[in-house]
Amino acid sequence: MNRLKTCASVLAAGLLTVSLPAMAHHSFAMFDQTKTTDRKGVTVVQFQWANPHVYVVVKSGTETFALECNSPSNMKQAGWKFNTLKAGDKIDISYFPLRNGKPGGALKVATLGGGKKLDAW
Amino acid sequence: MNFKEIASLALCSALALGGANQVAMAASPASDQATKAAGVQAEPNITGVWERDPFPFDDDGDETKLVPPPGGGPDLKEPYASEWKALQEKRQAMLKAGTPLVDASTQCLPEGTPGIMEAIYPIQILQNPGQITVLAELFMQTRRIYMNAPFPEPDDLAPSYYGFSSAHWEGDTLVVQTRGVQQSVKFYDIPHSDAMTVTEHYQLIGPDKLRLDVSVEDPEYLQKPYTFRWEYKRNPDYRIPEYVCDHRLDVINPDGTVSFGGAK
Repeated sequence: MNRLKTCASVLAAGLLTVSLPAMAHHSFAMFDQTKTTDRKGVTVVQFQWANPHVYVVVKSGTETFALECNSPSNMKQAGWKFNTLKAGDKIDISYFPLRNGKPGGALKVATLGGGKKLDAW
Repeated sequence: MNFKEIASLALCSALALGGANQVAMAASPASDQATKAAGVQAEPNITGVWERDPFPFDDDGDETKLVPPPGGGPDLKEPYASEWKALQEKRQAMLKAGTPLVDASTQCLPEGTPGIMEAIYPIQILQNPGQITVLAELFMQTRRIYMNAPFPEPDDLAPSYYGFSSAHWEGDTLVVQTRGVQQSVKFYDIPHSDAMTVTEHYQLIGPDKLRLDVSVEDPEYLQKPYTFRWEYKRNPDYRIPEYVCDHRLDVINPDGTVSFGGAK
């Protein structure tokens, strides 16, 4: 998500600002921001709404891997709820892959069953 | 009007007149002191949930850019200055390489003083007689500031994340002094001695706008006080949620780099 835009509109609404940890977002450095991998119709295995990061585990073909998202606080601003996803849901995902080539990454956008798109970063 | 009502009216009038007398008396210097001693002077109210304003983080989308410290950074003595610069360069390089170095936030450790006041996520300040409490969303931290409290003797001031904070009002300004921040708590990697002191000046610069001026002093490590300013706005609509780091995905490798550990 464009944090600055979200920040401005959220500030206008009198709600919370988007935030980043003090040091550069260390975990994000592990993901390749220059690439986006798209997978359609992956199955949600687990949706963990927790700190420091929400994450979703998905099964795509024979692969099962975890995708890191933003914090629950920031995810809420982007329209997610703690029960937005549950095991068995089929979603389309767009994510930044891990730089080391292992399965997994940082979820960029999830498209839910009904077509709704949610930013996860 | 019956007797009771007349008596009440009389009593009220007497009190009202008495009050007016007090106000008239308060205008003179002698009773000014008396008024202050009686604690009649109201303190600015800084209770509330506060978020940084302006929001401090540059959002150019580059998640591999190291965030610099506020106020232009510290003016460290050598060899600390060169060591710190080298560490910042190393961190930046590791970030760019996608193998970031571990830091206190990786392990969700308390930010300590003054870090907790950076309010990357909102903070809640509770102003009560004798104590001001800061509750941070990030890592659900708690910092206690004691009003007009003498500092403990050095032997009783065990170094800690937040140190011991004693505050007093100077007119409209809340002045907080902190000693005893442990050496492992390094704000933006800045090293310090056990003798470091942090002085904070808080002022309400608007009905819902708070200004904080921080001054970090450490004659052993700093050439001159390290100063910077943070400002906040009150957000009455925000309820601070829990923040317990019980689902960390980061793995800290033996070489100090952090990897994505996948789900647990």
